[in-house]
Amino acid sequence: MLKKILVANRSEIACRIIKACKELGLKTVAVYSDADKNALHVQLADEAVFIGQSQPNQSYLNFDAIINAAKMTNADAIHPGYGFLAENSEFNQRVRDEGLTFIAPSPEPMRLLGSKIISRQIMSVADVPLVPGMKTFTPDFSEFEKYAENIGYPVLIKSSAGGGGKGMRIVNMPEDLKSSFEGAVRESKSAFGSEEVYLEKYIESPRHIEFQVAADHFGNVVHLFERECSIQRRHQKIIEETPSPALTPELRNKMGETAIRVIQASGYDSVGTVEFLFDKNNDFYFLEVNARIQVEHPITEAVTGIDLLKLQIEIANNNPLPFKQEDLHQNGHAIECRIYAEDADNNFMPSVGKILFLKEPTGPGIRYDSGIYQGTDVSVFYDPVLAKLITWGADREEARLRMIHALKQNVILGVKTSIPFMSNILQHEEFISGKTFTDFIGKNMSHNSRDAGEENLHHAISVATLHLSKQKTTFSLGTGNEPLSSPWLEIGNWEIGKSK
Amino acid sequence: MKLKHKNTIFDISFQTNDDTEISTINGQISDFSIRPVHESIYQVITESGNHQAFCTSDKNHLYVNVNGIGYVFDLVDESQSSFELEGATSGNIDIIKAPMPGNVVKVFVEKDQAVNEGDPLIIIEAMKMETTMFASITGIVKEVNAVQAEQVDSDRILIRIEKEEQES
Repeated sequence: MLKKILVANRSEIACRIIKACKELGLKTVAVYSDADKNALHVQLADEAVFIGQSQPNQSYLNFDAIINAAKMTNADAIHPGYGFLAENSEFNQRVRDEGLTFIAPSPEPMRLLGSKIISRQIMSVADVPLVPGMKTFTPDFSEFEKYAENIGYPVLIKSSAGGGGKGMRIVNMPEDLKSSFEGAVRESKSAFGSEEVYLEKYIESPRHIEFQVAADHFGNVVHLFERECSIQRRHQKIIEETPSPALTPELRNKMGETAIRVIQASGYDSVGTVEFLFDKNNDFYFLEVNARIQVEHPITEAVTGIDLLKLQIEIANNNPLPFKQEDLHQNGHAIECRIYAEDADNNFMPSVGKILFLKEPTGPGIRYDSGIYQGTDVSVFYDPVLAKLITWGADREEARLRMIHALKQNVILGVKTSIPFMSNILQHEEFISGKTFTDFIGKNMSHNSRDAGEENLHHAISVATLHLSKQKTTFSLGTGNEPLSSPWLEIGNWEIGKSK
Repeated sequence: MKLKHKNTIFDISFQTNDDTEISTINGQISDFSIRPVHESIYQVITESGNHQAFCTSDKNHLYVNVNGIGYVFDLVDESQSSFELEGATSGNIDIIKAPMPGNVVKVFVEKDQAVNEGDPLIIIEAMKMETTMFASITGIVKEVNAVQAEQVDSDRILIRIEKEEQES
């Protein structure tokens, strides 16, 4: 039985894991870098260990520092969260070799699923539908030409080790194939240290639909239904919902059964996610398995009533799944918005600074998974996710309206956030009618800065002036009076220095 | 009092009316009033209904949220604006600063090097995003105050470029 868990992560997911452990009566150890010494996760854990400098490779990615912290505090398990070392099969193996439990699938399925090409081979044998394309790696460009000719343009060149859109190229015409191939190889090598790229059919305007799965060490596998995550910017999800507006009960069953086959074929033994592309003809294709707890797991928790974090820990504790497929049901609808410190008016540029004022949304059907408090410094070193806002409703419309009001209630002063942008998406007629595809933002939100209007600006500027006049201390100016170079000259509402 | 939002300057004054304040913006009296509630909390009172508003400041900016929309304002300091305009309008000097604290990924130029408008000068990385900063004028690099892999904050002048004519 596990007694003490070291959380090898930061921000909201570290806080989420610590809370789950506390409910299970487990002790927790936080780890932190220089930049995070005052972070929320450090305050919440029973113990906290400093593991290094702020750069991730010197702290949150440092095998030795994390394992030493676990030994020093007598932790018997490590929870990696998502990102950082979560899907690193070498670290996974290392933790086990040190006699500790790694709260994740076994290293072998993690390794196999970490390679897109190997997963395609396994899934092809298991009769899982794949996007038409290559199933083996070849450095031979003429093979790419042959495949592209056979399946027809547009095609996609992808890095086998890739993720987040890196090492990925859409090719519309044969003339562009060679340069795209070379670019993808170069990018894949620099980002992932691997030159393995492959080619597949480019599916236009798909939906991204994924299935939550859970598998124990006794061969039991269930799925906990789908999440639709089509609203993405820079190949990163920002709004997720469940159920998907596109699925019928028949399609849901079919995809759920396929997801279970994927898990069985790879010997997976934890909670995880099977991602699919879903096209306009209602055909679906296996994309990849995310061998970790997902950012968007709370919406599944909201509609199934199952705590996935606790389930993940119980599986690692060698307990069998406490339910069967027929025990699971979807109740109502849930939506998640990821609150990022970024400027949607300026190409989603990260926004650093101090959270000077914070008001968290509350009320029926509202959940706020946060990594911040009033006073948090949003650092340059890490992903700028501040919190996740999840709303539940009896149906999609109730969840949507609840989200719009909850976003409005969530006041964060000091950094720019994605809140107004997401509010605009939720009020867009294409979103309301469930026409959500992965190119939604590019197609519908190019004029995203739907101005709140002069009236609201006048309200705001009056409040600002009044506030200023109430301040007893004199308002001191920044030092920078010099013109700034493009592209920073116009940085949305921010004025850095007092440039013209 | 003058505040700046994006590139527009607003001149605002107030009249007190019981426990509320009515603003005059650029000479026009507002048709709404504002009631300070507590510290950072305000209420905007309009004909069509009231809104919650929140405001706070740091040494450089005022941050406001009204009706779920966030704004950032700058105070305009008249005593400095004429000095400030000098460099900007004449376009003789280009000063590069990091827009936010970050890592220097690469520096493309060195001191005394000639650069053309649009040349890349430096790459800064913050939060996993790289951004290249370019020269806005053609001239000579007079100052380079950043090295690769260094952490820089947003106040430091990283690179300064001057037009050649200035030398003569």
